[in-house]
Amino acid sequence: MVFVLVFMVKTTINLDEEIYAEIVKESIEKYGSTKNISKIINQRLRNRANTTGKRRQRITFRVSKSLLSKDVDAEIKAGWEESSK
Amino acid sequence: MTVLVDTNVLVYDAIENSPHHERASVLIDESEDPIINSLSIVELGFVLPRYGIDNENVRKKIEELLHSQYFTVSWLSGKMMEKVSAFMVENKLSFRDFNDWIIAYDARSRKVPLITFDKILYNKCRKLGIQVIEI
Repeated sequence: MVFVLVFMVKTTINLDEEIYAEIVKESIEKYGSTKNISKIINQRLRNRANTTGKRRQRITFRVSKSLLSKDVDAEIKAGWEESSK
Repeated sequence: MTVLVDTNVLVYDAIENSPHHERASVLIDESEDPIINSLSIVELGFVLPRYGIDNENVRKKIEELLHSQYFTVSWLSGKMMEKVSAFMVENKLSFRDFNDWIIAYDARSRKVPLITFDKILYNKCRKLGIQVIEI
């Protein structure tokens, strides 16, 4: 079993009003409250660090070659039509 | 740069052997704060099975989008739908493309560029003054 310790440091920072409003909005949209402002700031800084370094990992799939010629936008349209039947 | 990511970019990013995968992934990675509209999560949910992705993997992908640290989800509201409808009527846009305009209008209202592989939507957005990034 591996334990990971994450140390948090409490500090005070002064944000521009515009940036603060944006972060509050994101916190509400993502977590439903303004209690996660620190989390959002940490995420944003981590994301910025990632863009300069290693590529971010996301779930990807390999699909059959026969399906690759499908146009994504046509499939989205077809998906909507199918879901409304 | 903050951008709003269209569903087609998410799909190409998710399918690693798709023709636009590399470009889609780089665009997402290069954005400091990529935003996705919640409608794109719905669209991804019904498009991935059309590429042979099984239910469990679709579920994992949806969960990733909802809880990832690199996407901000912009939740579709009734108020937003009203605004999009009015915008579409004003600009004589077809409601057959309601889904596309919900996403494009979201970019417009947030004053961030939309990134899309949909050339038709790209051209229409440009005509309407919606910021859009050419791919």
